[in-house]
Amino acid sequence: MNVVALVGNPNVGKSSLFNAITGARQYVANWPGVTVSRKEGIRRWRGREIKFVDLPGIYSLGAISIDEKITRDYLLKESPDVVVVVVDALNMQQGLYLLIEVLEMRENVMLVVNAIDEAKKRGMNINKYELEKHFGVHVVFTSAVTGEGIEELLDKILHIITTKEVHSFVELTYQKEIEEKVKELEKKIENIEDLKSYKPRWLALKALEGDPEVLNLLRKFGISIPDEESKKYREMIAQRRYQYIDSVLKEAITSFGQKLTISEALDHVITHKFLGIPIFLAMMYLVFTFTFNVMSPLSDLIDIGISKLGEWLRSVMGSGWVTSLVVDGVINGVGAVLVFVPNIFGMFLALGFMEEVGYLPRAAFVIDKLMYKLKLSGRSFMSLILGFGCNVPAVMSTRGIADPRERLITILVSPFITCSARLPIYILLAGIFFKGHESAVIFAIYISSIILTAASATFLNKIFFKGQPVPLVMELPRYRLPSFKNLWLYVWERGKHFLEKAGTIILVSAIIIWLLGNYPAPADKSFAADLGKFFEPIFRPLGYDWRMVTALIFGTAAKEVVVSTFQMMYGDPASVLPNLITPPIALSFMFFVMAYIPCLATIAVIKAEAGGWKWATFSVLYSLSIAYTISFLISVIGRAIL
Amino acid sequence: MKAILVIFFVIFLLIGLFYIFNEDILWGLLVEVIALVYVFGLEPAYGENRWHSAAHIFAGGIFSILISGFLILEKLMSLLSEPQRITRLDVLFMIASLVAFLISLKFVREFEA
Repeated sequence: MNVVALVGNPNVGKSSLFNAITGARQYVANWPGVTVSRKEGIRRWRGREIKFVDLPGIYSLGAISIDEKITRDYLLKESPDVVVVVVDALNMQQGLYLLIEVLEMRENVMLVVNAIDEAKKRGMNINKYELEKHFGVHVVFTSAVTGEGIEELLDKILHIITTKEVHSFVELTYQKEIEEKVKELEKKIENIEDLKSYKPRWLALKALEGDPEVLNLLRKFGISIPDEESKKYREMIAQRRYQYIDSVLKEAITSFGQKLTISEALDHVITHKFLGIPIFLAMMYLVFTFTFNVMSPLSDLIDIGISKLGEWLRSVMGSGWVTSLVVDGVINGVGAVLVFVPNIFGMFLALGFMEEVGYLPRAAFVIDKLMYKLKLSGRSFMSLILGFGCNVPAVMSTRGIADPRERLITILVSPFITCSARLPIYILLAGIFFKGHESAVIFAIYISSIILTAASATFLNKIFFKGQPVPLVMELPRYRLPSFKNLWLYVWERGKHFLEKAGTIILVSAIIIWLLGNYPAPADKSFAADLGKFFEPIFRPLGYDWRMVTALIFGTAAKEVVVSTFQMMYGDPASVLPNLITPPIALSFMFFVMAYIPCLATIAVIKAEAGGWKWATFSVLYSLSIAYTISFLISVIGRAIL
Repeated sequence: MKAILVIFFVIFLLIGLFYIFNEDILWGLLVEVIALVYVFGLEPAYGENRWHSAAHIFAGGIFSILISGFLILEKLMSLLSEPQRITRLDVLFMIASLVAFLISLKFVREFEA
């Protein structure tokens, strides 16, 4: 089967194009860095099956960040039949830079200028033949949104595959000094048998640019470039490439659209140095108002439905341990979590909306200045904000962070960002102890989680790591009206995960908790009670009873299980809990849940991404000690005040 | 344009303060953010720059309709469980937001010049 790779800068529409070609349903964000690993799909065209590979968005083939490494390794080692470089019609310069790098690296490359409909709307006239002439590749204009140009693209790909046509790239000539160095290096490289699979000119240029991987490779054969020289050559090479691109664009684009757009007007206000932060906080508060106040009536309806189902089953099945297992264990245990489905879906809908319209990258831009003071960048913020959904993709998305120090810190602080699995616990306790102020309390917890994350990053930076962050280089995407299909995909992809957990890990946990809570004898003589009572002395200073401790222990499997455990241990938490604990203890418990041990899935992904058990263990111990300290302070201060 | 910025700044400032005095502090603060968007349209650094003023009027309109939209949605959804009363202040806020939004649309042409 022939293979076609899609390469391009982040957020130029590669994933949209991939979906339009293959009919896949990969979520397409208005946000750079969504494709963190490659995605594959197959399209049958004119009797031939073609495999398309969507690679992570990158700005260059430098192999500095993991995204760049994935893409470069794929292009070098997997050797696809055709490489399609996708550029954004409204912002071609950076994309064409990548095109030059790909052309210097390999054959069978073509160029796709995407979002051509947007360019037309803005009065831009792009001359396809000028681009073809200067870069020596086939050029196709597409719009992944309207489907324009997709058939032409498939035909061109087929043409390259069948004719084995090699592009006639007018090799970019660099400054005399560079060319002399390149020729000198090329001669040496050509004589080395082990380097025959690489294009000598590409290796030579990368070596001059100071590419660490290429330099390591060449060093094995006695070729090296001093750091001072490579710094100078890197600047000269980049300067020449941009100079060439600018001259091509001057000829290819004959008219520009209006200078000031609605997008720029909104950016002027949203990214304002004083207004940016209040607007960001207002938007976040709206997200939680929507999550709690707007969606809660739907949760109440589900709650009533689950209670009625339990009552009906009890009346049909009579009394006995089977009824108790089904009603108290399964229905109430899983139901206690399912009640919060509208809230979870509501939060994803609100976050998805902000992402779809293009607000989240602006938020990253606004926060970048603040993050820089914490020695992180807005790129870290983008990873962290994914953690509001689930910490697992948040940790995985750190692959796009170029600086290894910054990446590790972001991985370690990610679990402090409060994920959606913790939301049911907050809603339950805020509903019981802070009636009428639920959204304010939950908003405060979320803001605290951001502050804790930032403080933790500063602390880790000061104690363990030293260095400056890589500044955020990000193209702000265009504002767009949210597409219903895309929004639904966003909500469903994330919400489905919650439902799957309810049907798997939470169901199994509910049964296990029921068994542990009822054997060898019910309530405080059960195994669960023994477990909770064993650890209770540690939590006594915090004011938690053994059932709360048991819930925290079971919650390490998945945080939602805390709610199931409450339901089974207390029967009706809303009426029992106020007699056992005070609002400060409830608040302290919410903060403990916010900060303590990440769930098992997150621990596993921290181990994989941070490179071993050392950092995963550190993350567990670190978060536990932070959670304990904060909760202790809240309990003590709260009890002293009340 | 300056008059529009001043008028909407005062309107949203007062509405926000009324919400705060009625102990609806967070909604009040949200409305004050809208007022801030308008008042920063008067930044002296930009002088008589029409585009700058238009950008703030446009953004103010978008934010006000967004925030008041959430308020309506919250009140409507509450009908399913514990109905919340729509107060005169809510109605005033909604009307002001609607007017702000309609006026902001008129300024879209400023960006096409």
